[in-house]
Amino acid sequence: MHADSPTISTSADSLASPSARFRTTLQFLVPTVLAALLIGSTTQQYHLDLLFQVLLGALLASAWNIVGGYAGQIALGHAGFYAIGAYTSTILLLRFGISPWIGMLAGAALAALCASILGILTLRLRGPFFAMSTVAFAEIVRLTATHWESVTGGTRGLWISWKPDAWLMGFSDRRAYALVALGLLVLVTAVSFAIARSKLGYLLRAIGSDEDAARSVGVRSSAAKVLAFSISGAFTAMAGTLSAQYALSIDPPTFSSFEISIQAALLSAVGGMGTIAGPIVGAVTMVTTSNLLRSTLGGQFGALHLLIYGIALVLVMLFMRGGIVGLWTRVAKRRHVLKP
Amino acid sequence: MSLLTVKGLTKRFGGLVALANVEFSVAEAEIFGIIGPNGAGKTTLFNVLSGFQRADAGSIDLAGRRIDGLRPEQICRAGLVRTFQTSRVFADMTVLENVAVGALSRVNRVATAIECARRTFGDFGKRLHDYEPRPAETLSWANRARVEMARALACEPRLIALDEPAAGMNPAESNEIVELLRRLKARGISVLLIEHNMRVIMSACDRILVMHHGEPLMVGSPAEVKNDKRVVAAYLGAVDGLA
Amino acid sequence: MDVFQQLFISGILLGGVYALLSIGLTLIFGVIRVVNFAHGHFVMLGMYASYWLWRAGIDPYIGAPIVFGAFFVIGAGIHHKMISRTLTMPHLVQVFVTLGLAIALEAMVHLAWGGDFRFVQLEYTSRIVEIGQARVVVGSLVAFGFALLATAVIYAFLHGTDVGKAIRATAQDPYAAQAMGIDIGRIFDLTFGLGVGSAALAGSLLVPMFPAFPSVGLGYSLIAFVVVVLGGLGSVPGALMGGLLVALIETFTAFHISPSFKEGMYFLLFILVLVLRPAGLFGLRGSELVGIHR
Repeated sequence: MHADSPTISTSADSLASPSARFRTTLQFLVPTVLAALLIGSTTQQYHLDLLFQVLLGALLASAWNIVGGYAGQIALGHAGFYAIGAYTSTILLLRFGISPWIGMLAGAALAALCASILGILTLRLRGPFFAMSTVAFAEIVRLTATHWESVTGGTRGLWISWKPDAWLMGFSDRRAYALVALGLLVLVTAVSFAIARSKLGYLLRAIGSDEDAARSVGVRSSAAKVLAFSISGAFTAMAGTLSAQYALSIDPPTFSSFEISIQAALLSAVGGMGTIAGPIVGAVTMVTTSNLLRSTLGGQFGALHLLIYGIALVLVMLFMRGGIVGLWTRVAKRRHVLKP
Repeated sequence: MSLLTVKGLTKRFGGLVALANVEFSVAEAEIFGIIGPNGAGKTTLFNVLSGFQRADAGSIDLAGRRIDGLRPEQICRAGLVRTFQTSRVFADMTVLENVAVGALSRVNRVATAIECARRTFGDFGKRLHDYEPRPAETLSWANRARVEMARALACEPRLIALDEPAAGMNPAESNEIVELLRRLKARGISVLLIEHNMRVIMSACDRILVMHHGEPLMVGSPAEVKNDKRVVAAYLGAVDGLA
Repeated sequence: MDVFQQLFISGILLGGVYALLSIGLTLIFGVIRVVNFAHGHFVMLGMYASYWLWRAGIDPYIGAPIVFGAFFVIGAGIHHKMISRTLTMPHLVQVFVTLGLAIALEAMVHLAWGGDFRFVQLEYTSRIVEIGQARVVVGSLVAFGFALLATAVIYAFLHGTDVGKAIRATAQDPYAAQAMGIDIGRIFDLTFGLGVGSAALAGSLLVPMFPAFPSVGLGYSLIAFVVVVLGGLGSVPGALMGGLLVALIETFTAFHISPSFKEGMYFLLFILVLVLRPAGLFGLRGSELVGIHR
């Protein structure tokens, strides 16, 4: 299920040699530069929105992958962390004038705390029951945002008045938001990479593979799962903050919808769970496809992209569990074997 | 002074009594076998010893410390590690990574764990070394069992509990297992061994516990067990007891 | 009017339907060891099916058995073609496949019939009737009665017929059942069909009182999960007791605290049960099973 990404090796001594280090740096640098150039060259708002959504999806999926892909804990409530991030930074900004950059960190910290508590309570559950408890968590966040009107603005939500001030995360050139998203994505990817090669990564993968066997050789699975869950939640919250700043308004239905939770899991699963490139590949393919569908077919067929999501998820899970990256790896290996 | 002392161990599943007052002790550097027909409670015993199931009554003492009621990961750190009948390796991790996870119960740096892992390979000939970068799921059944054993050994246990390590092995391979057990004994590691392969049991074990319907039938040396009429009637059948 | 009696009776009546809603989930788990994430979505589909039958002039309660039958067949087919493949795969595949199914079903309904709320308004269901000091809507009485009847029928089927016994045998020990000549593939198909059918049937009973809309499925799944965890995985009497309990708690908290506290209450119940008594009220196994793994 966890396909070793063909592009980035995560074995421990892969960075021992300078040439391997150089290769890995290149593997990070080249796509980043290309993406930055792509962002810089967009002139139309529509294209920029699409790019931003793809980056956001990649962010969500990569953050989810830390707990879902490595440790195999299928969480379906990440919208809760997303909303916590968005609301925390926005409330701090509107009430206390605190910069959203700081607010982003505050949101991440709060999300990590919530994830720890939630994890301690529910990570004893396996599979579907853990998933359902995360769904309930996200619902509670949504309800809190909807009913705590004095603080969150209730169902109407909150508005951010935009000022061209980088410290307030307000950019006159909208492309800057996409660049920030790209920067965040590089950060999450680098952290994922570091985790994969670290003790935590090994433990998480062992847990995801066979938790009982892991425990029998001393893995403190509860602690590891809670830690992964917290890191995952923190990054998801940061994505929420950025999204709030881009949209300049937040409300419960948009920022804590079940669809956000599904996206986080689905993009990672379709792209390739447990790999570095998987969530990004998943985001690029699925978000682009669904956006194209929505724009060409119009509002009446708004649910069509969800239908595609559902079918894609079923097919990938039944026939190519390693996702797109897994398929690529298998094909690449076969060709490698056939070479003389 | 025994390393492992089990007293009055009882486990019920609803109306079924899986373990009934099981008692035995294992000394340091002793190879202790557990035999009995299927359903005698052997794997349940392992589950209780390793913390995966809780006994309804009784006590388990490891090096003077009560370990019944502890979680599996705690029991591993206390010095008792078990393997599973079905060779539960981490399927999508490589052989090296599998064994490194075991070492990570004692060290914090991955590089160190990998060194420790490579050191345990030595006990298994060249095999694990050759298969180092391969995903564990691509290995044969017997090799998976070896990976699981190496992983358990990487935890540097005082007592390793092996659940049918020789299952599916040919005579040459099962002889290797016996050799391995003797080497472990020489290093001061105790072995608890569930096996159906009587050649392995009789040649490797210092003492054997015979279980039947969850009850301990007798504990004795291989010779004593082979000739005991009750054991023969319940389990061994033929006089020379070869499976 | 006595508030307590009112709440109690309303809760009990709702509980009957919650029980029926959850029996399918617990059965499917008990026999096949699969948790169907799309369970609530079949309730939703049952609601829509009854709605369209009503539009075609068929009373929902009369049409309910038809809905059950149709979804029994659909459920058996879904298991045969799709779910059966996942039985040997890691559990996360099950979650994702049933989740994908749920997403796809919701999307199809949305595409076909839009997101509007659909109400089935029957003249006689909205009439009020007095039971003791409580006033209840006829619809809820009928739903309760029907739900109890269906539960009893299912129970009788499981204990009285050969097929039912085969199902229970498979739940206890699939290998032994197979050794006795039971075709467990067919049993699995049947059980899944039974589970899905009863979920759809519950939908038929709910739609005269609650609106049908595409995204209503997830909420019902959550309810079913809590009921099943509370009552014990795999236990039909447990689903009944669990359903009554959850409905009672829901009714009382909605009144005394707030109607929107429902989800919070489900979550709290979930956690409480897991911490205090993981096996649930009538659980067959211990806590290892709430962390399900084979």
